[in-house]
Amino acid sequence: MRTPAIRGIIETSLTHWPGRIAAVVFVGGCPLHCPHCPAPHLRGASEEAGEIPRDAVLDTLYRRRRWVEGVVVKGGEPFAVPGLRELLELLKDFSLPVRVDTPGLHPEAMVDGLRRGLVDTVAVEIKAPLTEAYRKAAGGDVDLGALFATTEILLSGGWDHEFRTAVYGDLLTEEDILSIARTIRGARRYVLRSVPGRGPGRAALRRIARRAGRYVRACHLDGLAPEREAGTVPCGLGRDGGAGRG
Amino acid sequence: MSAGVPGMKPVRHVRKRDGRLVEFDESRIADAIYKAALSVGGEDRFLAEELASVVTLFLEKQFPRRPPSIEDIQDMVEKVLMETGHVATAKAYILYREERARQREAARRPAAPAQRSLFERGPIGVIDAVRERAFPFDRETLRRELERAERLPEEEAERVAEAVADRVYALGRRTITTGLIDRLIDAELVNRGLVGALERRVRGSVDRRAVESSLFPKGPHRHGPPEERLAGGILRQFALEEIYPEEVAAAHLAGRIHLDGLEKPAAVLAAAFSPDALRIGGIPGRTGRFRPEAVGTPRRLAGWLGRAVRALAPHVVSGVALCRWNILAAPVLSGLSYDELREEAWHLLTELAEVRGGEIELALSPPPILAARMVREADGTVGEKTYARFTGTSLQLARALLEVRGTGPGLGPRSSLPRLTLALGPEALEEAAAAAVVERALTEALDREPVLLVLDREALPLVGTAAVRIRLEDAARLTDTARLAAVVGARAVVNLRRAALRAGPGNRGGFLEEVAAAGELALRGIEARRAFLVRAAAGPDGPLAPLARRRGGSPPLLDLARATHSLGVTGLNEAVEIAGGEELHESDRALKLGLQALGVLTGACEACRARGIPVDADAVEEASIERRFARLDEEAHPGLAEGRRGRGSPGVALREGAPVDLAVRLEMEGRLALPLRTTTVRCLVGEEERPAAGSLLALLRKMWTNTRIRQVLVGRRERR
Repeated sequence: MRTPAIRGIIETSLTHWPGRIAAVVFVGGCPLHCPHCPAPHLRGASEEAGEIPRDAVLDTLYRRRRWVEGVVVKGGEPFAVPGLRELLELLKDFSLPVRVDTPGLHPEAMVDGLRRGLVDTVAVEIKAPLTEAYRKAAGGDVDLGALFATTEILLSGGWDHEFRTAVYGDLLTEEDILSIARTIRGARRYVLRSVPGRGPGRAALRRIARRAGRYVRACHLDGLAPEREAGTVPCGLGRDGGAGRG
Repeated sequence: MSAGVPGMKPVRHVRKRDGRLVEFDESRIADAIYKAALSVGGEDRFLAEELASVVTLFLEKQFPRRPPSIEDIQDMVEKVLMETGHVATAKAYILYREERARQREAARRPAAPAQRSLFERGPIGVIDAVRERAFPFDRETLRRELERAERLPEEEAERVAEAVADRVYALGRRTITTGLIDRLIDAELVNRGLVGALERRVRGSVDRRAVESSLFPKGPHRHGPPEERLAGGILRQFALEEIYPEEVAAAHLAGRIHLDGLEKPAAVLAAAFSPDALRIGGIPGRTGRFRPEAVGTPRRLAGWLGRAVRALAPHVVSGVALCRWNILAAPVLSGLSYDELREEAWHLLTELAEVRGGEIELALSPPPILAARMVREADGTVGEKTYARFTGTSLQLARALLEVRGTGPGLGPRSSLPRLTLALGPEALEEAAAAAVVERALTEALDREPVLLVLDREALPLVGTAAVRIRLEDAARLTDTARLAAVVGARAVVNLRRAALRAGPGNRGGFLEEVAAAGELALRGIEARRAFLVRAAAGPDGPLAPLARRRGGSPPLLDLARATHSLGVTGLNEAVEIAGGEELHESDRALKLGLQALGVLTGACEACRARGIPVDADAVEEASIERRFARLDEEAHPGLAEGRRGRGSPGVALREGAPVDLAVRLEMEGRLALPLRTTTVRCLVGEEERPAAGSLLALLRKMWTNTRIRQVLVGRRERR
């Protein structure tokens, strides 16, 4: 079976799939040239990124099966990589939910994965408002039509999804983030990811998240539970079952 | 031999390293310089002799009255070579000198008695228990001390030191205390009619140097007010000389083991109480019980508990914990609004602020044995409702305490507040309301300071402090929540890294033998301390007597007959690396060696238990103990320990940066935790990889099912 080259793996991660312990599989290849790309060596399909034998990856997943609660497939753009379907089929053999992190530029491949049940959830990274600003953030020409199609499919279909934005101070303003939130109005989850030292502080991000939360069903700050007003009785903590003394 | 310079006394003798006087021979200096010069390409024997005579000249000038030591001469050779521009030769000479020092060190080590002895570098060891140190006896140091502290003129100091040294050697002992040396000096001063000096020495009845060093502290005991340091020094001396057997005290001073709380010999290591134990039984030394109706509201419980804990704190070395506070206080505080509960939490934190080692333990659900029990009402009587019916209030109390401790105003520095511990049963990880509190605690841990989570696997409650956790094995004791109390009497900690260093690199069998020997010393220390604590609790006037007495119908707070004791271990990873060549995470063989070492110690604990002294093995992660061991290891094994400085892994943990993923780390540390009663697995995350609290909760669930970990510290990794 022909599967894409696997460029990297994180055996157990607490950060790539909030709420779950996940294994992360990196497949190379990405059409974008974002100036802030955290893994530029994975961009091309070149050999310089190295390759991990497929069986070694599957073996690792098998050994971690008691810990791992899901597999995250990351790129580049995994949906652009030939043979992704075969890889997803192999991963599905572990009976683990699979999430694909994508820039959302290949809606057909995404829909195919979701329809076949090979992908359980999709996280779309929206780098900037879907205007000229996106092209700047992505470092070149981008088919924004495809990105619009991706958001439309996810917002109107019943599939689980998440939109994400890494907040770099030099690329995005508060208004930009609100503009993205309006584009994905009604989304199930919108996650703002703080970049230590390169974006606004957590307090500022919290404020932005509260404003963006008006457009989506839930807006999280990466690594934090949704905000709650201080001093209120926390939800879920009931009174003593009629046994109180008061 | 130099003819010397007119008007100057020629150097006639040299003091050897072992204290003997031998004839001075300038040609030996010339030989040494010539050899050093040869090694860097020089070949001028005449120049070497010239330089040697310069050295002699300077020696005559600097040591007009006493013979120079070998070290003095070598220092002078270095100085002369440097100052006359023979830098390359000087460097070769220094290297040669270091090499010789290493050889001497190596030659000394295999000699069995020397290696086994406390003083790995000197023929006679001086024990200075006040300052908690040991060092080789040295006549020269004694002379300098007499000159400095007793203000004796140089020749007089030289003669007194000489005479005292002769007596010390004549005693034929391997060790000698500073106290005995002091008496020998006193006697010598009397013999020589130096009454003025003697008068100065014995002015007042307290050791003048101890007072001085408490006012101007140096070294590890420099914290706290001077009066505490002074008392601490004197009590430490008493403890080391009177409570513990000589070999045990020597092992402590050498850093093979660590004896806890020498400054408070009559205090227990740790104690934990339920609020009911204090509420119902009363506070020792105070009359009366907690009576809410006296103040018209249940909301004075915090003040009462604070007063009780402060009364107990002086009798405890490392920690006083209030266990299951939210569960057991819930019936008293039920009916208050959430804001009022937050106020109660604020008061409790304020009451317990500044109590050293103070801890509040929260539980997310009553353990089964408590859940079905009838509650103690506010007035202390047994009511008709069970604790399970107050789960709502107890969760709100836990939440309120977490929230107030994290963000509450006017509480001062967070480090002065009591630590919080969260005990979780499996239901806490599944039920939404309890899981929400755990998530809150995890968020606090990532935002502010680490939180200790106890995975409460036993059906019986586990009570205790972060230092030591105690499983109440005797269910009969839980007929009453007022009896939910536990005490850890004595603790001694084994320095595993030192055991490996003493055995030598690659010596697995020797390492395990050394571990057994150190464990035996530690257990003897525990037995001795335990006997002393029993004495302190007996009779009407013993310092612990008020706490060890029954309070009306309630059991004593410090029940030494039922106390457990603790054999601590630390430094396993480095020990295994030295003895087996690999770190714990590197192979199954290394992990096995680690487990063998722990097995040796838990086996010794079992034997002790069979003799009627309940001792458990615990991992010890206290930074102060690790620092002390590191310093003494470096002193005892300069070459070997050097590369391992700053790499100490506390307790039985893998090295912090060990290249294993989270699951493997937790599985390995879980296996190592198994033979021990208390060990904390550390789950620390970096700022850039901050997980969602929900992910940590998922990890806790997996820890519960996949490992036998009982205690995990969750928090943020400090930036390096």
